[in-house]
Amino acid sequence: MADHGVAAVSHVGVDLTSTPPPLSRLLSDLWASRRLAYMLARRDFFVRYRRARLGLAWAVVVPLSQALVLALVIGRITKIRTTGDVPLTLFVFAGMVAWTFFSTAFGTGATAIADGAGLTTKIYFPRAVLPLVTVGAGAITLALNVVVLLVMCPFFGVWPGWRLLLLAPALLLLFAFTAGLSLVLSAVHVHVRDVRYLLEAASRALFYATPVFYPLHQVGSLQDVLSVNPCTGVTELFRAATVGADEGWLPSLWWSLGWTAVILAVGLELHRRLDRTFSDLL
Amino acid sequence: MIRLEGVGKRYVQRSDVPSLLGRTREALGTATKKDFWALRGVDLTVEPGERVGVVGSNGSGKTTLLTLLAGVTAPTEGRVLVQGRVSPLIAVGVGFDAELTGRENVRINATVLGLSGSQVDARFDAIVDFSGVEDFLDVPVKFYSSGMLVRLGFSVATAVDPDVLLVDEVLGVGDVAFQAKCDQRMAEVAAQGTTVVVVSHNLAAIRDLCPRSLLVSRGAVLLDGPTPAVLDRYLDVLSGFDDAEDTMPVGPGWSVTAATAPSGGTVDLDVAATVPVEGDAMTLWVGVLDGNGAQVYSETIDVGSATGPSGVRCRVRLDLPLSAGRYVVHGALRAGRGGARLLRFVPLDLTVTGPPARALAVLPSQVNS
Repeated sequence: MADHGVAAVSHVGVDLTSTPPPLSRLLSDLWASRRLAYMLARRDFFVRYRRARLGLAWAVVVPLSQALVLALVIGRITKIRTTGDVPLTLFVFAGMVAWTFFSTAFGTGATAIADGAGLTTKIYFPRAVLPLVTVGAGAITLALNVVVLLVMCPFFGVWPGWRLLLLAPALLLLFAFTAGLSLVLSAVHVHVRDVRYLLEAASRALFYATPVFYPLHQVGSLQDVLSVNPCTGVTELFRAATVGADEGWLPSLWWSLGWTAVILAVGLELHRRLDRTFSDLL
Repeated sequence: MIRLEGVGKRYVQRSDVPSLLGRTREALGTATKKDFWALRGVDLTVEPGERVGVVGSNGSGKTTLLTLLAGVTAPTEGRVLVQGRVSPLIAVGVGFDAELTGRENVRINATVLGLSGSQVDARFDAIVDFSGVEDFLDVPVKFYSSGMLVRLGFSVATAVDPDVLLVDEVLGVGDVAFQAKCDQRMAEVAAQGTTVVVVSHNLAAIRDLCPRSLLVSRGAVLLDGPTPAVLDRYLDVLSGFDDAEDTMPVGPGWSVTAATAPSGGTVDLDVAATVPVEGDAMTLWVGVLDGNGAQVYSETIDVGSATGPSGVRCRVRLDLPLSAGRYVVHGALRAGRGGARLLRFVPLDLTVTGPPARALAVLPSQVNS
């Protein structure tokens, strides 16, 4: 046979029984599919924005306008105030950047496998590529927003300085958590299709239970409860890396790290077991 | 090489998409959930470079077989082993994402199939050129006609130099010009030593391409052997002679010949059986299949008057208003209407000549003024 060059999927051929392959196989197949993932992510991103007149600008305008409205409303009608000299608008925008990233990624990630039925019922590639791609596509939006946030900081009199060293771990946690949850939700969604509606309902509750537009230390006795919310630590670490952390945020970080590890493990295990049978239900 | 060992695939029949309520009711045992085996107990070995046709009625498990070979789904039992690069199932609605453009889908498909970026670039023009959809490359494929989709899918699947090519019901679709291109490409692919598995109702295509065929029926491989014998048996299944005890080989001294007929003309079947026939109420059952395997004609003809103690001898004239094309005439002699089949005849190729077909049949019309 002709020289095939570098194969995108490591296993050329098929060797299947009803027993799912080991996790190492799933991971190596995923790694081998990275070029496919990149192509899909790039296309996802452009599809989302290329048809709109302002194009890419929407990726920033939406969270920014939401942050402005929230800051305005909260500043007027609540007693929520940030500590130190961080203006409320900047504070809320930092929270919104993180929130927008994971809420968008859950939503599109959950339905990714079902939405990709056109591809998945005819050709094989690890199905985990699809939810991960939605996270990747969101990463481009996230990068834009982080740049805008950092540019805004000096204008609001905030200098991130050494805090920026935390940016890499903050983004890493954001990705790991979102990727894990997308893996879990996408697998469950194929088997139970109302997940998307549950998610819509849960997303709103989660928004209020996550310190997006209020500092963690202002909720009083609820602080310990909210720290358990996996989104809390992720958001707090992101804020710690940009506009500055809230007081007493560290416990929420440990919770988030723990949750992320568990969710990633569950997500990978679900995909290991169900990868080759998803298409039966599509 | 392809090897299937005791392969079975079970699906769950549900009335709806899986939902929380449905799942709960299934768990409580109050919902109707039915398992069915789309395929069971299949053992199969296909050597590299072999070309195998798969025939069977709708719902017999042909597509499930290809889905397993493509690795899209895992078997419920047994083992599926395919060595080499497997092309996607080429079928209507090939592995394309409806929202993406033709260009993007070609790139994605080629990437999934293992081409590197530069290899995709190098073959891109050839793929597009072959498919003949260059004017619609930047249009999402949801706006493509099914013919365009199949053409593009066929182009990609055969352009990646697969070791194993899986083809599902696409031979014989598209216009005549594309069919000719398809046939040529399939011949090239076969000449390269590619293993080919073809599912098709187009018996002529299978006969041309595949020396070996499988007859799949109710989730099992009923027959595996040389294509002519398998197609013969398949025609039996189509005719309703499905049960083994009903099968009787073509007897000596028995022959049916058909004359070539012009479009809209007649077919003369010369029936001659010199074997003893019990009973006197003999009928001749005749079916005509078109090039896609669809039965376009089926009739039971009373030939009791021609039955003698030493056999049957008669000429049956069929007035078939068929349009130009290739057909297969098959049938059998039966004891009485719907009775057991006594003798079947070797399927005959029938070529109806005339102007290019615009419809299945040429029906008479009359103007009254």
